[in-house]
Amino acid sequence: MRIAILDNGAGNLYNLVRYFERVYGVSPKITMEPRELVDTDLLVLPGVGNFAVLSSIIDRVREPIYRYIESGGPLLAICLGMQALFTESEEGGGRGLGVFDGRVVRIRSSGVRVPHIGWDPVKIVGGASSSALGMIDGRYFYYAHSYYVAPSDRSIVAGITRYGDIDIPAIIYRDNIVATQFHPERSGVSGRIFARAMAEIFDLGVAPSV
Amino acid sequence: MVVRVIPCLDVDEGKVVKGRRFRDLAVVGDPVELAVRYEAEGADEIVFLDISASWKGREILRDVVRSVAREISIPITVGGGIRSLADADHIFRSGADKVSINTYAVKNPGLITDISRKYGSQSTVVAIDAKKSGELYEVMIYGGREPTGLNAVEWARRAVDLGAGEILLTSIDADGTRAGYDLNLIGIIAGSVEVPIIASGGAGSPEDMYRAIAAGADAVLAASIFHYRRYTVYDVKRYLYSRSVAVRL
Repeated sequence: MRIAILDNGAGNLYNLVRYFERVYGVSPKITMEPRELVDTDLLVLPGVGNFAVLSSIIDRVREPIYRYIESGGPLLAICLGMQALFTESEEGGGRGLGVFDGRVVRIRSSGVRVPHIGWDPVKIVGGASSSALGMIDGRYFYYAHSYYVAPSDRSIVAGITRYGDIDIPAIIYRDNIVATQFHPERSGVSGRIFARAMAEIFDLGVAPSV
Repeated sequence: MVVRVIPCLDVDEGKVVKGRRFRDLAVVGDPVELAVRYEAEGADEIVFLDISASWKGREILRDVVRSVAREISIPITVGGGIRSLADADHIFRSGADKVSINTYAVKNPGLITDISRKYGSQSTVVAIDAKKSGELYEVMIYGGREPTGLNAVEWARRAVDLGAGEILLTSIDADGTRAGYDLNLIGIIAGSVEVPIIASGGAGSPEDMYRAIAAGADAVLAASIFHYRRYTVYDVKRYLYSRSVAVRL
């Protein structure tokens, strides 16, 4: 199995690489090469810095990513990577991929801290309950973000986490795309169970141990 | 909100050490072994503070961070001696999820902005060592040795304006005493900024941690009570849960 991680240029992808080594026994390739991004069994869109930074990186590989998604290639987008699937963010600066309609908005809720940093339980919702994602229902995952996605089509929201008085979309799942606001690679055992769900959803042909 | 319990490892030349009031250091263990143990006990995060005085010590720390990151899968925060964006780059490359800056944030506040622009404010922690001075708290630097004349509340607000996404707040008066956190300090800073506050300095028991949370802390950090196995992280979380504090068990 091949895994490609979009190179965010910040050099802070060691933990993500280590995660895939641990859960799938595969060393991912960190790359900006269009051919390598498309010719893979799993493409991972990581986060870094802010929306403007990530959108400027995406600008350089926009077409290959669209091609990959249209061809049905499995895509996992994490944290800011999830936000980049939308068109624009309140954080400002640049254009996202616009795969989903909606906005990326700042957390505004009385009595809670921003950024949202820490572990919170995910609640799997809607049709996703009967998918492999059901196995992470109620488990705690690690979050570190100030913005969250507000999709126009709520049916793509597969998991939520409550923060203050907001139901933050924690997972988006549609067709060949899974996106998480949390960091599976920093979420201990929960992250390993999530990897098992991914393997099933994307039919990756690996059975990770937990 | 789910409160975090965070063991802190002070690292000197690659070994975990513990001192009292920033002095009298004694070796307590190996960083990788301790980190692995704390993850298994339910730690929500681990903080490494490099207190090495030498450049060699700093280089060793990067290796330590890499070795720990290889073994654990919970967030790692690394601080101590980070003077520049290039220093932060090295630490992130080694596997840190967040960096914590202290002395050099005071000396060059633009560093906070540089790091948060590149890595995001959620990865940028500003550590404040505060010492009671009359009715106020003064920011101390260089491991608590040098006064700055800065008011801790004003500095916390400024740091957040510049891009800090979290404040690691240590009471120098309470640190190492195991007599409890400085609750007044926690309350004042927590009420002054929007970002999460990690309370540090003085933890002697799970009840001290409960009090810090009641005073406004979002996370509680401790070193010696965990290193010397007075309590496990799990003990602390069980206790907090029994007092109706939301924790990840």
